[in-house]
Amino acid sequence: MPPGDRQASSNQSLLDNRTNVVGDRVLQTERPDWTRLSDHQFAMRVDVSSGALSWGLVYYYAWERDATPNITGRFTDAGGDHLIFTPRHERIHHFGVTSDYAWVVTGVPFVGNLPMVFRAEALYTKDAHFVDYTKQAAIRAGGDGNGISEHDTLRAALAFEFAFPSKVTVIFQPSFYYTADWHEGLGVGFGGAVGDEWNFAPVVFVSRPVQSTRDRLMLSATLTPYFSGPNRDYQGGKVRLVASYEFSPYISGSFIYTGYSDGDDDDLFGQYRQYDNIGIELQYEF
Amino acid sequence: MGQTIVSSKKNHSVFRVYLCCLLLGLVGLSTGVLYTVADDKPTWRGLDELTSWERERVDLRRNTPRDGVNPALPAEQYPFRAPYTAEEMGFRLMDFPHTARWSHVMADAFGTITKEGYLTQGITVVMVDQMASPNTQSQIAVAPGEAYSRHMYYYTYPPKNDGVQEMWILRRSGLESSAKLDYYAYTPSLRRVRRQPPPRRETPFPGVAQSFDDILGVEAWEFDWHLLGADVLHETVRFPSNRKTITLAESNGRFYDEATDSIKLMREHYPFYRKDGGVDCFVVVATPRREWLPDYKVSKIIYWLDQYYFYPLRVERYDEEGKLKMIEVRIAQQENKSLPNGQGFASHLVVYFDAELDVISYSLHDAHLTRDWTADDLAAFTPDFMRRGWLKYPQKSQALVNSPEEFYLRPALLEGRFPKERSLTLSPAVAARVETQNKRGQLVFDIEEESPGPDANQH
Repeated sequence: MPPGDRQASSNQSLLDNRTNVVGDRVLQTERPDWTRLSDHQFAMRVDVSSGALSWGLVYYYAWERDATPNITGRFTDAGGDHLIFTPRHERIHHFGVTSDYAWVVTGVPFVGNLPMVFRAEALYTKDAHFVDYTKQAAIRAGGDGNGISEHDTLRAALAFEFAFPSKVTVIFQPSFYYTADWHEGLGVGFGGAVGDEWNFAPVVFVSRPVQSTRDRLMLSATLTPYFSGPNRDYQGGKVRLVASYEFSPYISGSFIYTGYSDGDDDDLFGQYRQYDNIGIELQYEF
Repeated sequence: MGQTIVSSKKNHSVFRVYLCCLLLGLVGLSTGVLYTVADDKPTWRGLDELTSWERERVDLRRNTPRDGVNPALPAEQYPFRAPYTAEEMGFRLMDFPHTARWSHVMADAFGTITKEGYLTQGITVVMVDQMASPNTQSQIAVAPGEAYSRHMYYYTYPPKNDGVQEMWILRRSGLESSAKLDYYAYTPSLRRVRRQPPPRRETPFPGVAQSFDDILGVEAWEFDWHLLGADVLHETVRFPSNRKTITLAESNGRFYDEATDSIKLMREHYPFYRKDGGVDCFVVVATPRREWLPDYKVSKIIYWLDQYYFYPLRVERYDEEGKLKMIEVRIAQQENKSLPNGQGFASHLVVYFDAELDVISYSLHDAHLTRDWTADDLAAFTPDFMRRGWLKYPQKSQALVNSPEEFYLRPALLEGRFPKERSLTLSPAVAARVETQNKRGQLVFDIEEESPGPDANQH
C-alpha cells in the first residue's frame, strides 16, 4: 500500500526516492556511462515496401528505461531489519516486426468503396527484468538474491484503419501484452502484462471533422476496455471524448472528457471510477 | 414681333442643339448597342456551330474504336492524331494533372479561405520522380496496379507543419485494383512513417476544397466522353482588384514581382492566343463508367480544353444529383521547353471553388526546377527516407496571400453557356456573396451589411 499523504508529504527521503514506505534504503541509480562505447545502444531496422505491403524487422540492443531495484544489502536500525536497494538500468534485447497492408474494399453496403489499412506490430523482449515480490519476501526473511526475475515479454497489436465517407476515420486496434513464465508476486517489467499474465485492450477510435466548419472542429472518441488473465478478468473501461477547434493557424483548443467505468478499486481503470474528469487545453504554436 | 423673331431664333437654336444631341445620342446609342451586341455575343457554340477547322480537328463519334488487346484503350495509339474523339481528348488531358508529369522539384504555396474569411496557408516542397515517359504514356504503359510516379512532399510552412512529410506512389487503376496510390506520412513528433489508407478519391482533403482526384486527375478509361462544343475563355483565375502584383520565384530562387493584370491564361509562351487574348477551347464531358466507378459521388465532369494541346483551363465537377460542386480554374505555364506538342505546360496557379460550401482554395507552383534525378537523389523516393528529415532542394515561395481580402476571387460562373448540360444552381447566400464579390472586385465577408446593387446579377 502506498503511504498516506501526511506521511509522504513530510518525508523528504521518501519524496526523493531515497527510501520506501517500509524504511528500506535506496542508493544512487547506476547509469550507463556514455564515454564507454560498450554502454551505447545499438539498433538495426530493415523496412521493405512492395506495392500495397510494407514490412520491417527491428533489432534493438538497448537499456531498460526504468531502473530495476536490485537488492544489494541489508541493514538494521531502530525500526528493525531493512534492505538496501541499488536501482540499475539493465541491458535488454528487443526483436520487432512490423507490417502494414493498404487496400480498397469495393461494394461495401451503404459505403461503396472503403479504403483501409491493416497494421500488425509485435515486439519480443528477451530477459526483461521484473521486480519479484516473492523473492523479496524470501530475502527479507533471510534468503539470498537480488529480488529480480527475468522474463521474456511480448507486446503485439493489430490495427484496422478505415476511411469512411464524410472523412470519418475508424480504427479498431486490439493490443496484447504477455509475460512468459509469469507467476503470482511479479511486479512490472518492460513489455509485459501489468499485474497478470496477459492483458488485452481492444481499442476503438472514431474521429470526424465537422465539414461546415471547414474541418476546424474535430470530434473524436476513444473507447478502451481492459481485460487480463488469469486473475483479474475485466479491469474496467476508459472513454475519452475530444472536441478540438482550430481558432487560427497558430492557436488551437481542446475540450476533453475522460471517464472510467466498472472494474474493482485496485484494477487498472477501476481505481479511477470516481475520477471522471474534464480537461481544457489551449495550444499556441510559435 | 421682335420678341417673336428673337424667340423664333432662340427656338431655332434650341432645335439645332436638340438635333445635335439627338444625333449624338443616336450615334452613341447605336455604338452602345453595337458594343453590347458584340460583348454579349455568345462565346460558346454547340456541335452544329463548329468552324470548319474545328470540324477537321474533332471526331464526333462517341464510340471510339477500341484497342484489340486492351479494350480500355482506344485503338489508335496515344498521343493520337486529328481528328480526335472526345475520349482521345480525355486521354490527352491526362498529360496535365495538377502536378507536372516530369521529374522536377518546386515549392507549392497553397491556401484555403472560408466564406467567413478564415484563411489558412502553407508551403510544401514537392519532389516528383516520373518513373517513365514524361506524359500519359507512362501511365498507359504500366499494368493496372503498377506504379508510374513518385511524389515526395516536405512541408516548410506554417511552423506547426515544418518537417511533416508525405510520400505518394501513384499507381494505374484497374477494374481489379481501384486504389490509385500508396500513401505514407511522416510526423516529426512521432518520428514514425505510417502508411495511410488511400484517400477517398472524390472527397476533399482535410481543410481544403480540392479532392484527391482534383490533384492527380482522372483516368480516361474510367469515363465515357462526349464533346459539347467550343468556347472561348478570356479569364480563369481572377486576382482581386486590390492585389496589383504577385511575387514569384524562378527555378534558381530569384524572386521577381509581376503585375497581376498581365498574367495570361497560359502565360507568354502559348502561341495560339486569339487577337482578343482569349483561348479557343473544346468543351468535353466525362461521365463515370459505373463498372469502373460504381460508387463515385460525381455525376459528370466538364472540361474546357485548349484546342491545340488539350490543356484543361477550366474544370467543373457535378455531384450525384447533377448540381455544381466544384469549379477549378488554372493558369498554365510552359515549364519544360524540351517536350513537344505543348506537353511542357504545367499548372502554375490553380483556384478551386467548392460551390456548395463556398470554400476557395489555391495552389501556386513556384520555383519550378526540372530535374534528371541522380541515383543518389532517387534514393530519397522511399517511405523510410522521410525519417532523415532531409530537405535537399529547399525551393522557396513568397506567393502567399497577405490578407483574406487579397485572396483570389471565386471563378466566373459562365452562366448561359451550355445551359442544358450545366446546372449552376447556387444557394441564395453563395449567390449573394458571388454578386458582392463581382461588384467590389474582391472577396467580401461582412455580406449581411452589403446589399447587392441592381447591376450585381452578372456572375
